[in-house]
Amino acid sequence: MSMAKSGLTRRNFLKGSAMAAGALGLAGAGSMTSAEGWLAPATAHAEAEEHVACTYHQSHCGSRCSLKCTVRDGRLVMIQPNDAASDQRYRTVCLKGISEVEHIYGAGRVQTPLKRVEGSERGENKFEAITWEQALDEIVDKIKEVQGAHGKDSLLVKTCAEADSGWLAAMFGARGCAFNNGIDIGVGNGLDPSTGTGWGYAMSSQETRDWVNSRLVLLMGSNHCESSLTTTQAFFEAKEAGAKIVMVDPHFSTTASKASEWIPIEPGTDAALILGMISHILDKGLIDKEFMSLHTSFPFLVDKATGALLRGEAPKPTKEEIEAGIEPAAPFMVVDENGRTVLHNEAKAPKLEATATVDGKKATTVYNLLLESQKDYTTEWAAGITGIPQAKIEELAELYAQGPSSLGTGWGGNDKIANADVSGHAIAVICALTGNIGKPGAGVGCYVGGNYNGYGAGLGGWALPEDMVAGPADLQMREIRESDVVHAVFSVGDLVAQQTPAMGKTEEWVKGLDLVVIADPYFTENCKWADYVLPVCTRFECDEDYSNVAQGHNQICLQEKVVDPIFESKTEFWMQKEIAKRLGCESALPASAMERAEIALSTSADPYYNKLTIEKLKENGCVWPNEGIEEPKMVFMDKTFPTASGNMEVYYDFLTDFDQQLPKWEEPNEAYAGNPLREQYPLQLANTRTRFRIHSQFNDASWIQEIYSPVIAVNPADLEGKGIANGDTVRVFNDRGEIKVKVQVNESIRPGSARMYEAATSDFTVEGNMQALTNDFVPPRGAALMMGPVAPFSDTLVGIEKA
Amino acid sequence: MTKLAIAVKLDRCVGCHTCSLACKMSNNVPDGMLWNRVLTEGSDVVDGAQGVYPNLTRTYLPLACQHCENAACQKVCPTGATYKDENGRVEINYDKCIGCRMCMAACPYNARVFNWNEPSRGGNPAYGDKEVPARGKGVMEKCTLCKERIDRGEAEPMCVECCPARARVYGDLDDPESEISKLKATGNVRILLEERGTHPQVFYVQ
Repeated sequence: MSMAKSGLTRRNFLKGSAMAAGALGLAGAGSMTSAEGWLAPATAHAEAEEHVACTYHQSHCGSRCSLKCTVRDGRLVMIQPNDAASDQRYRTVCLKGISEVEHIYGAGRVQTPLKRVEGSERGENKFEAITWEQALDEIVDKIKEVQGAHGKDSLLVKTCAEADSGWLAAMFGARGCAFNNGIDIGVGNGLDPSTGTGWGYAMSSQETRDWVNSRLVLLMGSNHCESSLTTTQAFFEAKEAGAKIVMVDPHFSTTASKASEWIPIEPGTDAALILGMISHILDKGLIDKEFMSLHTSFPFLVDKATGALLRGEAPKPTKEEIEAGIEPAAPFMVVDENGRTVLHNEAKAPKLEATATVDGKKATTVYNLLLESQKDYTTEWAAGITGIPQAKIEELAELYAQGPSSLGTGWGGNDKIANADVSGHAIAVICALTGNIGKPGAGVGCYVGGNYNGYGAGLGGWALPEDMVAGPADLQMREIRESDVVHAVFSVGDLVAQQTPAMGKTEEWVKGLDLVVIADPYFTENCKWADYVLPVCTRFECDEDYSNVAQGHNQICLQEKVVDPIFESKTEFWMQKEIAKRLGCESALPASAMERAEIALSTSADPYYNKLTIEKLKENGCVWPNEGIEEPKMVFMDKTFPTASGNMEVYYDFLTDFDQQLPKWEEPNEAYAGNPLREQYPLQLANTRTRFRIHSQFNDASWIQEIYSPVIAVNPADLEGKGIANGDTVRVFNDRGEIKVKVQVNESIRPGSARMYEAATSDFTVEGNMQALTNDFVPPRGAALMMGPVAPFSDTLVGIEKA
Repeated sequence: MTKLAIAVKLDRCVGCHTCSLACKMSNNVPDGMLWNRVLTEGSDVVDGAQGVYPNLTRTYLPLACQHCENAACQKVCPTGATYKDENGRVEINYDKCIGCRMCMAACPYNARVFNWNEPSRGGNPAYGDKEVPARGKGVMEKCTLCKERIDRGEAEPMCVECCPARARVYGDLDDPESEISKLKATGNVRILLEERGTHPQVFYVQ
C-alpha cells in the first residue's frame, strides 16, 4: 500500500515524528502502511501527531458550514463548528457534518476507477477495477468518437451542486440541462416574475435574521427546522421575540411541531388557501393602497379584448445601453390622479380602479381584473378545497395583512406539485396587495440556509479562453430522454435516480446511450448505470494545502486540505486537468487549485474581497465575515424592483394563452382529492426533504443509518384492515412502477397521504427506487413559464399493500 | 463544591440527533451504540407524535446519563467502578468494571450501554478525543459529560458545542451565577422520573 493510500503523508509523518520526539518512529509508520495498521482499533492516542485543518461542508442544504477538523496520524478523527466565525450563529455543524468522520472512510466510497464488465448490461452492476490512466484515456477517446459522429452537444455534462467540475462542460463543448430539470423551481415560476429576482428559485426573501421583526412568519412548504437545520436559531430567536410562526403543512413536520401554530392542509392546495385569503383581504379592505398604487402593477391598464398590458413607447436606448445590448423596457399605461391616461412612471398617484379607452382599445386596471377573478374564490370555497376551516383562513388573512409578515416558501410541499406556479403567483399577489415586502419583518420567498439568502461575497473566478464555451442547456431531462440529442453522458452526481421523475423512462434512455461516465465520491444508484465510475474526493481531501474558497453562512470559507485523497480518489480539479491534457487544452486551466482559489478572491469586483488572500483567511481561522453582516440583509427597501416597470408586477400577460394572467385555481395533476385513480392508488406520495439527507447524499453514512433508514410513513387510519404493522415490508405501487420498503406507522402523516424522504434508492429500501413511482407530467403551460415545467415529484398517487 | 450538569431546552430541541453523533464522535463510541439518544416522547418511531391527527403534539427528549445526585447505578456497583467524582459527575473507572451489568439494570433512564462484544468502529476506528480512554469487550460505558475535554479546560461538552438550535446549556449548579443555575431557578423545570428519588442533575426546561 502506498503512503498516500494509508492516509499518512510524508509531511505529516515528519511533523509527527518531530512532535513525538521520535517516539512514534518507524514503528508508527510501519503500522500505518500495512492493512493491519489501517484497520487497527483505537488504543494509544498519546503519542500521535495531531493537527487541526478547516474545510467547508455541503452547500446544497443552503448552509455550507465551516468545519474545524482534527486530524490524527493523517486520519480525520473529529469535526467541530469553526469557532473562528465572527458570530456564534455561524459556528455550526449538524449530524450530517459530524457523520463524515465515519462516512468519508465508509463502505459507500468508490475506491478505484471502475469499468463495466464487458458483456454485462448497464444497470447489472458488474464492474472491474482499472487505473485512472486507462479510465481517462478510454473515456476521452470515446467522447471524441461520439462527438465526432453526432456533434459536440451530443455529450451531456451534468454537475450537481456539490460538484467541483465547473470547467468540464466548456472543455468538451458539451450540452447541459435546462432549469435544474424542473427541480425547486415550482413556486419560483409563479413568484419570481413579480419581483424580477429570485432566479426562478423564489430566492427573493430577506435573511432569516429579519424574522425577529415580523409579527407573523407564515411558512408554506418549508420544513425549516430540518432542511435549514443550521439556521434554526433564527427561527427560535423570532419566536422568542414574539413573532407568531404559523406552519402550513399537510404533515405534522418538525417545523410544524415547533411553530406557534400548525395549520394542516390538503396537499397541493396552497394556492387555494392563498386565493381564499386574498378574497378576505379584499372584502375587508385590508389592502395597502399606497404600496399597490405606487409600487405594483395593480394600476396598470390591460386591453380587455386581448388580455395584454398596454405599453407606451420605449425610450431610445442610451449609448451605454446600446453597447450593453439592452433594450429599454416600454413603460406601462395607467390612469393618473386627474383621470388622464399616462405612462406609469409619469403618474403621482395611479388609480387602482379605473377604466379607459386607449387608441380605441377598452382597458381596465389589473386591480379591477383581480376583483373579478377573485369572485369565485371565497373563503368558504377555499375551506372546501384545503380542508382548513373558513374562520381559520380569515383569521390568517387578517394577521397576514396586518403585518409585518414574512411569507416563507420552500422547495418541499407544493413546490413539487404540477400547480406549483399558481401557488407562487398567488403568493406574489397577496404580498403585493398588503405591501408585505421591502420593510423590516416583511418579505417573501425561500428563507433558507446561510449561503443562499445571506450576504453574498461577489467572488471572482478563473476565466476560460473565450472560445472554450459549453453547448446549449435548453432542455430538461424529461425532454432529453424523449429525444435523440444526447448520445453520451458525463455526470458528477446522481443523474439517473435523483434528477427526474418516472425513473423507468430514464433507465430505458440510459440503456440506449453510447457512453455513460459517472464521477462521485460515493457509489450512488447512478453508478450502477455507468460504463465508467470515477472516484473523486470529498471536501475533506486534497492533494494540495489549499483547494478553494466559497460563500458560507455570511462569511467566506477556506477549504484546506484535511486529509490526503482516500483510497484511489482524486480531486475533481485533478480530474479536469488530466482530461484537459488529453484534449490538448491544459493551459486553459489554472496551474493549481490554490491558484484557482487565489484568483477567485483577487478578481472580485469588490475591494472588500479582492484584497483578501489565502494567508489572511488562514490567519483568521479559515473564515472571513462578509461585509455588512452586522444587520440582517434586507431587500427592496427602496420599493423598486428589477422588473420592466420597476414595480412589483403581478399580472403575467405572458400566460394569456393559458388564462393565468392572474392566479387561477388549478387542481394538482394526479394527487387531487376526487381523482378516480384514488380507488386503485389511494395515497398521495409526498417526496420531502429531511435532516438525515441532502438529496441523495448520506444514504450510506452508517452513523446516520443507526438513527434512520428509508421508510414510507403512513397514518394508521390508512392501514386499517390491511394487516400492516409498523416495521412491516410493504409493496408501494402505481402504473409507473413499484418498490418494497418498510412502513413507519406515524400519526404525524396526513391521512390520504404517505411520506417518503427523497432519494430512497434501491440499496437502502427493501427493493427498488422510489423514483420509479414519481409523476413526470409536464403542464401545458410549462414551456411558457420562467423556468420551464416543474418536476411534480409529489403529484403522485400510490397504492400500498403488505409485501 | 461543583455540581456539573446539562439542561435541555425542550422548546428549542428540533430532534436533529446532532448531539447524539457529536457525543459518539468525541467519545469514540462504538458502532451500534450511543451515549446520548433523542427519543420522541410517547411514540416508538422517529419523529412520531402524541395524539390523533390533527390534534398532535411532539416532544423530542434527548436522553443520556442524568448524573444523579443519588445515583442508583453507583449504589449497586460491586467494585466501585461507578463513582461520583469531585465535580458532581457520575463516572466509570473502566479498569474496575467487571461487566456484571448491575448498573445497567439499576439505571431507570436506560442510559448505559454495554460492550457485549469486542467493539467495532468501521473503517476509521480511531475517531474521537485523544484523551478518551479505550473500552473493550465486557465494559460498561455512558455519558461522562465529556470529562476529558472539560478537565483540560475546554468550555463545553461536545453535544453542547455542536447543538444547532442552542438547546443545551452546560454549567455548574453550585454556582448561583451560572446560566444553568438561573434556568433551574425559574422553576419551569422537568426532572425525569423524579419519584424514583435519584435526584438527576440533568434537567429539562419546558
